[in-house]
Amino acid sequence: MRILIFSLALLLAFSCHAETYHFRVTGTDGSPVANAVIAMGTPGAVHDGRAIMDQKDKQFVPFVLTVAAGTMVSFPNSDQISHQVYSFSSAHPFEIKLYRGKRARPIDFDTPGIIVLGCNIHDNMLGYVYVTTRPTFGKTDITGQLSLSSPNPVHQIEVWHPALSIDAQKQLTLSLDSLDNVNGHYVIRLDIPKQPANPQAISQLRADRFQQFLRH
Amino acid sequence: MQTLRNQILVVIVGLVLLTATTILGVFWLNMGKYTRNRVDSNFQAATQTFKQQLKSRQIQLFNSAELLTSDFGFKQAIASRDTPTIKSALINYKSRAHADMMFLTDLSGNVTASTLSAIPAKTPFPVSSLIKDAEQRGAAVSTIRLDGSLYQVVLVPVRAPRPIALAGIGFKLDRSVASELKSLSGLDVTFVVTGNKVVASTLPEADLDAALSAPNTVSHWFGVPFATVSLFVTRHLSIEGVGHNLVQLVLTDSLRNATGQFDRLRRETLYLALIILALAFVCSALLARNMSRPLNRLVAAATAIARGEFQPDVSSRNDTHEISTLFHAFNKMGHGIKEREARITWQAQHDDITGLLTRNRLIERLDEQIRAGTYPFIVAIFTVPDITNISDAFGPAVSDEYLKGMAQRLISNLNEEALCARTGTVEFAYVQPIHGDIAEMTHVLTHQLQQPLWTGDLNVKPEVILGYARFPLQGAAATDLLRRSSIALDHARRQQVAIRGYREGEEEEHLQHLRLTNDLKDALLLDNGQLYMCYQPKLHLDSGRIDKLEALIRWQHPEKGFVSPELFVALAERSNLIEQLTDWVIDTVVQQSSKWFPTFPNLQIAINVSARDLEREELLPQVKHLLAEYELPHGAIAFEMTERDMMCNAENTIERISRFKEYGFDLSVDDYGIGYSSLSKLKKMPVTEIKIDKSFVMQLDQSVQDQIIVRSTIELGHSFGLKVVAEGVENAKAQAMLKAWGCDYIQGYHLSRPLAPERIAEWIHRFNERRVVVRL
Repeated sequence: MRILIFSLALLLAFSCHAETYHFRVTGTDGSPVANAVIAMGTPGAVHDGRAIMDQKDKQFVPFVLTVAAGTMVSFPNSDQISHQVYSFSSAHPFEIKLYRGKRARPIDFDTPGIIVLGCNIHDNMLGYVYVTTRPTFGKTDITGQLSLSSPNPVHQIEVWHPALSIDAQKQLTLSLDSLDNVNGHYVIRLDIPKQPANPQAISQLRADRFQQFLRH
Repeated sequence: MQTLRNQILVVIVGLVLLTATTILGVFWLNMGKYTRNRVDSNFQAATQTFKQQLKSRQIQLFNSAELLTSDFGFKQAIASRDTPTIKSALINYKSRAHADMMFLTDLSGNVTASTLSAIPAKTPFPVSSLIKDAEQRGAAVSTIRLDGSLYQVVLVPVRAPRPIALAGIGFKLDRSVASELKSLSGLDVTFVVTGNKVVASTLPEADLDAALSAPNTVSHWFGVPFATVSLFVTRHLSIEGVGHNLVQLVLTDSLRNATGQFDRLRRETLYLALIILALAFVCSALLARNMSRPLNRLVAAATAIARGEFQPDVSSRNDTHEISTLFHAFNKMGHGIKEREARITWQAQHDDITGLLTRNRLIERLDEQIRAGTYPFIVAIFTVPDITNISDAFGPAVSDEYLKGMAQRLISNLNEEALCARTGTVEFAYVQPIHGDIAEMTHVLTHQLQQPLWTGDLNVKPEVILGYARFPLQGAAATDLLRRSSIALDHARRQQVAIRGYREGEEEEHLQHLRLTNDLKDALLLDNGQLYMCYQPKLHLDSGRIDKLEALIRWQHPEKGFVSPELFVALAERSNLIEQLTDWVIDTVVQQSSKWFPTFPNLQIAINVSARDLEREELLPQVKHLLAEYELPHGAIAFEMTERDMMCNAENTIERISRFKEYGFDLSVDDYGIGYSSLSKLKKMPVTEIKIDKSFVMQLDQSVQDQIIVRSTIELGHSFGLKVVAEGVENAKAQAMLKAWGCDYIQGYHLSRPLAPERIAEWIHRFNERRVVVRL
């Protein structure tokens, strides 16, 4: 599936004299920010592809899944325990009752938006599905870098990161001109603190929160 | 009054007061400290408790909130924005958690649903900072004021799993909470918000203001009387508050309890002190009585001793050791005094050498005896003149021995009825009942006393002179009798007899003589003409001329008139006035004779001197000097001395008499013939003249015996180479006889009475003229 998307993108790039944009996303302190999603191009694109949001070791894998609108996302359970995956995000609220294995039906994320994923049983499971109608999008790697090719010249981009707002729904729309270009990289400076290497490690356990409260 | 009881009382009362005051003082000093410490520790404990309590309530709230926000259904309801469902869920949950309020806000702080009308839905939550805090830190805790009430609120995000809303849950901090806190600590609890606004309090309304403004610790003056001290101690404890709504938990400790306790302590100390004081009164009274009883006995004993009564023993078996010791000492003192008194009395009544009675004691005893009625007795005084010489020669130790010996002899020779006393240095007295003849009695005793007495190695034959008076004939009182026997002794001494009884009238005479002696002294002192000189001419029979005078002293007493020269000269001799008298006479005679000297250069005036004058070595040089002063020759003055005076102590006298000759003065033996002097003595006397006593001459013409005596005396005198003067020639017949017998001079009334000095010159002239006439 990924290969398919990739080849399609290549095809698009070639066919339209595609131009590649290099981005580097940092936090306020300049540290690289992974899992920042950048989308560009004219919205309206739909897709009927498939994507997988796996659950391994009581974690959503990947942490952030970027899909084009209309993509069918399956939620296989690779753990030996049951999960009850849900989302109350307005873009696509859903709930998959307790299940194991691959019994769960894929969900068609046809509306663009950010879907915050949780598991009703495991409070510390957290994941995001980024659904967009823009043709070009991607998420930064661990070095905070992302290169996107667009057949058409791009002037504006959308940037999202879970830490941008408390409900993780906030997206930024940035003009490329306003961005610094350092060594061919557009530098996007997000107003977020330095992110942990493993974002899912942020404990969501109530017991931990209680400890935190007591310290408070 | 300074009684023992009062003193004891003062001491005990003082001690009790001191103790009570000290106790109270120590309490006052420590009460503040103690109370402060207690209050401080109360507060510390309470603060700890309250913090714990509030914390645990927060935890409870947090747990409740967490449980709610973890509920999937609740999350679903929120996600579905189903407000009625949400509200019902909140109400349900509030009651389940026993909370007082619950609310839900969206992430921007707008209230979604609430159980409290103070925060209605669709309005921003009034404490926005709390929202932010909860979003950023995952939870927020605060105490907020809503609609006049205080709430302890916990706000947590509702996570799905990212926060989708904020849920708040709160407990109301009201009076019941305060009461609950108070029950845990005993301290009053008040919730106060900014501006000292009281939200809830366990304090009564009346105490609120005082309590809230009270100091945070106990004053140092706490417990000190009259000090104005706050009855409350208050500490403000800030609890979580937001913004300007600072919330304070005010803890108040009332000191009423402590004050009350202290008041009670003070009261009890006072009561205790009063009880002890009462006991002190009783005890001091008892103690003082126990002490003053023996003291009173001692006082009685001392008074008795002062009166001279000696009580045998005043101690009692109940006495304490100290008192017993005191009594013992007291008795000892009493006995000591008694003994000493007896000794002193004895000493006062007895002579310390002889042990005989003293004169005073003798008088007392004698008077007692007289009062008691007694047989006739004699009071005798005798003197032992030798003792003075013995004392001079051998010292007082020997003379004391002598005195003792005499006393012993006196006692042993008298019976028990007799009283013996030493009345003077060498004088004893005794009282002896009359048995038989008095003369014999006294003679026997005197004889015994005069037996030789061994005093150490010295054997003395005492010479005793004794005078006595008789009771009741010669006196009715001891002093009279003693005085009269003393007069008798005096007479005995003068008359040189061993024993002499008092004779009636002697005392009067004695007194008169005493008075005369005093008057004579005055007369000499005043020299106012009472004493004057007369001169009796002596006729030289051969030549028929007057060439000698005898100077005779006369005393015209201002009251008694003419006083016999024999008497006052004798008195003068007895009373040491004779020297003065002689000096006066010599002065007067020399002075007067100097006036006659130019007219009668050969006139010689004879001055009478006594045996006492002989002893004065300076006398003759003095006369010589005086004569030189008046430019008179030695022959102008001559001296006469009685035969008796001259013969008294022959050996020495001759020596002294020789000095007259040495100085070139003539000396006559006056009153010759009555002194029983031996012719051999007369022979030795370096005199120039003898004067035959007038007793032989006065009746010369009638008495053949006298004629023989006078004639032979004249011859005798002449045979010794002495001139002879006859005194007391009363008539011409006697004069003729005397002239016939070869008497050198005559003197007497036939010739002339003694003449006043102013008449002398005239008389001599006239006599010489008459002689011429007679001759013619």
